Amino acid sequence: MDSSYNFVQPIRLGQKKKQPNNNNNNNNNNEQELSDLPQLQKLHKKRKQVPIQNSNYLNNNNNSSNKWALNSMGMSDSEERRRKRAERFNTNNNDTPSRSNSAEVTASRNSFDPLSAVEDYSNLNAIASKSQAYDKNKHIIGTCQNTEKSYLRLTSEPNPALVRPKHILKKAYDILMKKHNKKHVTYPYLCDQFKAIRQDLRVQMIENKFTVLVYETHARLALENGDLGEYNQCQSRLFMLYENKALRDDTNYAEFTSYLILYYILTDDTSAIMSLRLKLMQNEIKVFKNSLVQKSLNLSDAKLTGNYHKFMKICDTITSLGKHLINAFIEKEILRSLNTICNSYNQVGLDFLRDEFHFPNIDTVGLFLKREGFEEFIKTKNPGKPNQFVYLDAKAAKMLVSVLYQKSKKIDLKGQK
Amino acid sequence: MANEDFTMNEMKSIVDFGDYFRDKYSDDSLVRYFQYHLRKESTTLYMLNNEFQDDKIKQVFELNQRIWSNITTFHSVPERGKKMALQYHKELFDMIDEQLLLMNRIAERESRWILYPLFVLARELVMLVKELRKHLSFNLTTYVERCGRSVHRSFTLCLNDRNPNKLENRRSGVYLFINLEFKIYHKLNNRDMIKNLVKVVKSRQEDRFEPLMSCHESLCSIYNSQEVTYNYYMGQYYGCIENNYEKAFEYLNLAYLGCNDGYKSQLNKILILLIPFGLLSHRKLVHQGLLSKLYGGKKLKSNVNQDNIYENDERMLGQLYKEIIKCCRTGNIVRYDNLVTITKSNQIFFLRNGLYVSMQLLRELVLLRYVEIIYQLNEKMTIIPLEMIYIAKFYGQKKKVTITTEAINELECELACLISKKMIKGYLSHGNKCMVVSKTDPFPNLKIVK
Repeated sequence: MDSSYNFVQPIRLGQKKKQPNNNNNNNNNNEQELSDLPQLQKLHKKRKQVPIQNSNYLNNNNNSSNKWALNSMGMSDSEERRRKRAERFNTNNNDTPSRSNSAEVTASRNSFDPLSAVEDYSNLNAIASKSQAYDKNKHIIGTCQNTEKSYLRLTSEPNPALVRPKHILKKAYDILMKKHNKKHVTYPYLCDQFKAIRQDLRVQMIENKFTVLVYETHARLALENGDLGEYNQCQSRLFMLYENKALRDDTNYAEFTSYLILYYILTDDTSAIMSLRLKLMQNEIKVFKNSLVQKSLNLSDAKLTGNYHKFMKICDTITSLGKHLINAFIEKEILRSLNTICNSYNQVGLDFLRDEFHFPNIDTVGLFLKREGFEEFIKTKNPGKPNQFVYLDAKAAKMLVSVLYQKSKKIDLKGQK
Repeated sequence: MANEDFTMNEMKSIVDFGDYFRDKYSDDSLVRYFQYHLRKESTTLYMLNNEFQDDKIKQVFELNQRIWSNITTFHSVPERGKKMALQYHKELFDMIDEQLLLMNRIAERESRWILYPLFVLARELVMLVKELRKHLSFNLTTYVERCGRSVHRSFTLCLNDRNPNKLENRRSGVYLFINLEFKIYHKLNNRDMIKNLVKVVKSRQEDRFEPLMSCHESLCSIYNSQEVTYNYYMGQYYGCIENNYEKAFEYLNLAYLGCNDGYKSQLNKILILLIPFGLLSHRKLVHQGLLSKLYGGKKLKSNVNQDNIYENDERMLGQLYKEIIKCCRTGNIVRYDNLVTITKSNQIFFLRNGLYVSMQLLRELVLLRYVEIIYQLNEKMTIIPLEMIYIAKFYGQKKKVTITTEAINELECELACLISKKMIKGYLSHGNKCMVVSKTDPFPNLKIVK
């Protein structure tokens, strides 16, 4: 279900001065700052707006915020609170002398010391209890000056020496885009670099128009290269960022909303489409009326009723990057439509199929059918003559088509379901 | 029930709060003890005999006194500023939450008797969240989530009771808390949590060794309203989220049959879902007389406030549903499209109630009826030209109709869907642009086919 981990937010070690906020207007919850990482983020689960922490009372409860089950040790909330309080005293006692040490030593002690007083093996259900030792409202500032950085999944709190600050990230982004435009680099390299930029932004809690730009660019790149997993991550984070209306650009927002609807069609999530539709109709009329969004919504309607005629027609008209999303589910839809057609026609001309499914020409239709195994059902009337008519014996092909369609329904999308 | 009624029925008595725990029983006074929404403290005096009761019970008692005193002072002040109201409600929430926490911990050691009072307290918290909504526009989700956590605690302590004694086992009260959880998740609009809840309950009901009793056999057999609520929520889940209309119809039917006639708004809500699902799953048409009896005479103004959901529901049932059922019977596809797709306010109504998908699927039935009528008007000839089907839509319209291939193709596709779903026995011929139906029973009775 919810996989929020209480990741650590270390204080700028050695300095007590409060750091200036990096254009950060919202006090976003720091709990999920590192859950941007691919393995940790549950795919296509839209993260709800996390509660704002503004009082200690709520703070304590929020530490166990997503632990819905009763503590298996049978410990109640206040007993746990007492225990955590006790640990905190221990941690503080251990921390204060070490603060005078150099940053690396303390960092290494906190990251890798397995026997720190905070660990309590007697209660294995306790949250990774280092979180309350760190002040969540201070975010780190990076000091690394390299413009290139390969992505490495974080397993502990980030090291400021490896995190790039804002201006370096902007430089890095510009360099990457230049390389991409000149086609000097491959997608894996770009993806890797972009992930590193995203990580640095997340860790420093930078959430401004630049962040939105980075995510949008990466999302588009992922779509172009058919990387749906990466695309979904960018998409979920983007929509969280979009909740802050100041960061939204209307055309981009509409564009990505249309992609989101296509993604829901791909994952067959009708109720999500319906609630999105309601939200748009009630609160965001302009976005609702956007042509891209309307196309995607009509597409979802057509899919509901199995109206393949409308479906294929709209698919043909989608020329933006949504094409790549459509390619992921088009074959299943073609099989479904073929199933309907074979059940309701006795014979169906290939030209009819070409028109309905918007294939480029009759030969492609033939190739497609042969590939799926319909070779024996393709018959020709008056071969060689001018009124040659190639058709599919629909009645006979019924069995095969329904078997194929059932099979295609069971395929999960690259392990993302 | 007015507050005056309550005070009349209560005898002036003194009750020892600790007695309930000592003797392990609960009665109406204990329930009244927690009903904060009534705003007037009960006239029975509650006390706590300190010698036997433990710490938590003492705390519950003290909290209760504080809460009641807060309530009475707040409501005795004539003019209450917004800030004061907000502060009051927040404090009240914190206190009731704390009390529920304590009661949960107490309940873990107690048996079935404590469940209904615990449920009443939990319900208070949920009602308070509703109140908070008026005073607090942002940050409401924190409160709803906190409420959810506490209620979930109660839910798990009911569900996980392994007491072999069926009369003491807390499992029978689990449905009370399931209803509260449904309500909270709907407030949060969190479909995943609802799915999870249903999954958990279902797996427990089908458990091989210790199956959970059905709602009918649980504590809800005494509290009929809870059973109706449970059936309604389950029906709504299966219909709107799973699109499994048969199961949805089963549950909603039970809810409708169980709901007493006096509860108009509940009946409305049930009917709003029951009618489309009944049509889709069993082709059951609501008798026109029933709807007229319930909603016929009232002609509500068309500019009624949309926010007043009760009135809106009634209006929708009385006018919109009547029209829709008429379209289904007469196959008036044009009017149906108008009602469902083009009128925006209707669309929003359907979306709000999770009925958009059902309405799209219902269109097929309307189209089927339409085709059937054309077939009959055409003297039951087995070959039906598609043009005829297309033109008939514009019957009565004065302007000239152009028949485009595009329109015919689209119609062909819709008919193909009907045939492949076995609603029509026949086949299409693209070359001849016609539909050929079988000589015998081309429009099978769908109830039998199902």
